[in-house]
Amino acid sequence: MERAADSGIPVTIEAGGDGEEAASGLAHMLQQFIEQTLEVSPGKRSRARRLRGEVLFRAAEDEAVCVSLVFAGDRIALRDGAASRAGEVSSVTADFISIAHLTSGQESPFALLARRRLRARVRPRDLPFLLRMLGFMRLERDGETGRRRLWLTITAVAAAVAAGAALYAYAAA
Amino acid sequence: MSVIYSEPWYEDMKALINGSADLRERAPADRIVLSLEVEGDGKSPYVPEDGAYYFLLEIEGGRVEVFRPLPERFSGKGLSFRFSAPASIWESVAAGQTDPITAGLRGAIKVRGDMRFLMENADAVKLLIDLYGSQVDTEWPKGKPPY
Repeated sequence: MERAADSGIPVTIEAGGDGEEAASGLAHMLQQFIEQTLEVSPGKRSRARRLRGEVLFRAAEDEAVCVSLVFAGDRIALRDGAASRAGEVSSVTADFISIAHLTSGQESPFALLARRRLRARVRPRDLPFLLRMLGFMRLERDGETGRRRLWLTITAVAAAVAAGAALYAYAAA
Repeated sequence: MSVIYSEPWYEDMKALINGSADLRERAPADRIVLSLEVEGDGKSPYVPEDGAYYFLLEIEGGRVEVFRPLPERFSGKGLSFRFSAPASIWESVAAGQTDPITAGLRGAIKVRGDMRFLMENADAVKLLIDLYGSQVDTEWPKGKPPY
């Protein structure tokens, strides 16, 4: 089984002194997922190049397992075990099945948030990046038209504004 | 009850998976070829410390068509996924003592393959590994994990 071909955007794991092989399974799975996504979709490659920001993914099954995704335009880094970043960047905590449903488009992040299957600590200024990043991570379905994507985007942005306002109000309270 | 890694054990496992109506309903129609690699780690009394067992699983429409041991590591050609882990981890999963998803997230079970397909079919994958973990009738002649 081969690694994904070079998409022009390196996706690297930073695992401290123990090397990439010692990184968590979450980091390796995310790396493969992103590499494969970039490989098959020119659209995703251009979306990735426009992304700048960082988000911490934490596994609900074991919160010690966490990976910070750093999008830097021409490269993507996965910082394994970056728990110390928790207070500094926005974070998302979810179980594997919820992450899978999110990336495969079977469930929206807002539905998962409402059912508490996904927990997010979002700094309001990170919200645009987070929405674009979730859009990048979501698998493209065959036959999904541009018009449908446009409506999905509009709906997502409207829901995100509402969620962001709610989070902001919650944080300010 | 069948002895772990014995021919009847593979057949029991196959029957368990093929008996799941839920899996047939959720599984994709595509043929999925999986390789399971059980690496000796000095803890398991069933796999030599410097040895390994390799298995091939072929699933189509939620039914196991092939589940057999291999004489050596399967080459990457035609493989959808490769799952590798120390024997003590696999045996702990088979004994229902370790959650395979948590083991995968921690990196104790290494997963290589089409992650996009895995994400799209995560419910079926979870069902499959839950069935593996519910194989409670395994016989452990040299002791059950943690041995």
